[in-house]
Amino acid sequence: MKDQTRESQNAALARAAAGDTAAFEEIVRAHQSMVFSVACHFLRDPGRAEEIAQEAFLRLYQNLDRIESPEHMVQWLRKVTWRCAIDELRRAGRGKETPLEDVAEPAAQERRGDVLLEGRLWKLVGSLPPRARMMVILRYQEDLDLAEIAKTMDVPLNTVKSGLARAVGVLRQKLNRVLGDVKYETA
Amino acid sequence: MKPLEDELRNALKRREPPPGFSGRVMARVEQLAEDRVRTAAKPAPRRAPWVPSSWFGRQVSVSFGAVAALAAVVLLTIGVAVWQQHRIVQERREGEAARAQLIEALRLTSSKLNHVRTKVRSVTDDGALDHAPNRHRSSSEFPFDGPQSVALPAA
Repeated sequence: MKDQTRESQNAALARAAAGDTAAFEEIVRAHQSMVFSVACHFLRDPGRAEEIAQEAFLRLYQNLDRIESPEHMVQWLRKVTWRCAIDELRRAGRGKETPLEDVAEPAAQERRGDVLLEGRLWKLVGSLPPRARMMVILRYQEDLDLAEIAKTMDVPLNTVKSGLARAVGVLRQKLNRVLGDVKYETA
Repeated sequence: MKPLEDELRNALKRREPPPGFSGRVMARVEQLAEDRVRTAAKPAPRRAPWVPSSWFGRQVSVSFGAVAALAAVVLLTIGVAVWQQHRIVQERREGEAARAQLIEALRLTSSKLNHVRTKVRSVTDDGALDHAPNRHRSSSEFPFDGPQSVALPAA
C-alpha cells in the first residue's frame, strides 16, 4: 500500500515536472495540510498562514525540476515553509527573540482535561521564540527526529538538541504553574 | 495522566487549510505559467553589435544599456586616473620652481655677505679700527667665526 502511494506520488511528481498542472494540483492536495499547519502553528494567524502556504507551493512549482523524489519534495516544502514563515514574522516586526523564561503564561487557570487545554498549550507554544517554536512544531506536529529538524532548519544538530530540550522544559514549567497541582513529566 | 509530549501532539495536530485553498494555489500557478509564456514571447533586448551572442559556449544577453553603462564607468575611471596624474605632475613642477627660487635667494644673500665681509676686512687692514679698546684679534678672525662663504645646496 505504501509502495503504491509512493509510486503514485512519483508519477504525479514526474507529470507535474513535465508541465501537467492537474498532477501539480494532486501534489498540492496531498501536502496542503502539512504546509498550512506548520505555517499556522508558527504564525498563529490562519490568514497569513494561507499566504505562506500558497507561496511555498508556488516556489515548489517554480523548482519542480530540482526535486528528486517525493521524500525530497516533502522536506523541501517544510524548509521553504519555515523560511517563508520566519521572513513573514520579520516583516511583521514580531520576530524579536524573547528569552524562553520571559514567555507569557495564560492568565486564567484551567483544569486538566479541559477542552481548552489544547488551546492554552497552543498559545503557549505560539509565544515561544521563533526558532524554538519551529523546533517544537516540527517535532510534535511532523514527528521529525532531531537530525531531520536540524536539516530542515539549517542549524547544527546540537542546537536542535539543546533548543528543543530547553523549550519543552520551559513549556512544562509554565504549564505546571498554570494548571496548579497537575504535573507534566517527560514520556 | 498524559505526558506533556502527548498533549503537545494533540495541540499541534495538522489542520486543514480553508476550503478552496488548492483552487487558489492553482489560480496563482496558472497566472505564473501565463506570465512565463508572455515573458518567453517578449523579444530579447537589443544586442550591441560588437557583443558576441555566446562566450565559451554560454549564451550571453547584453543590451545596449548595459554596454553604455559599462563604457561610462570605464571612461569615468580613466578620467579620474588622468586627472590625478596631472595634479601630481603640476604639484611637482610648483615644488621645483619654489626650490629654484630659494636657491637663487640664498645665492644672492651669500654674494652680499661676501661683499660685506670683504669691505669689513679692508677697513680693518687699514687700521681704522685700531683705536678700539682691548682689540687682540687678528684680522682673519674678524668678524666671522663661521664658514668663509655660505654653502649653497646642490641644485
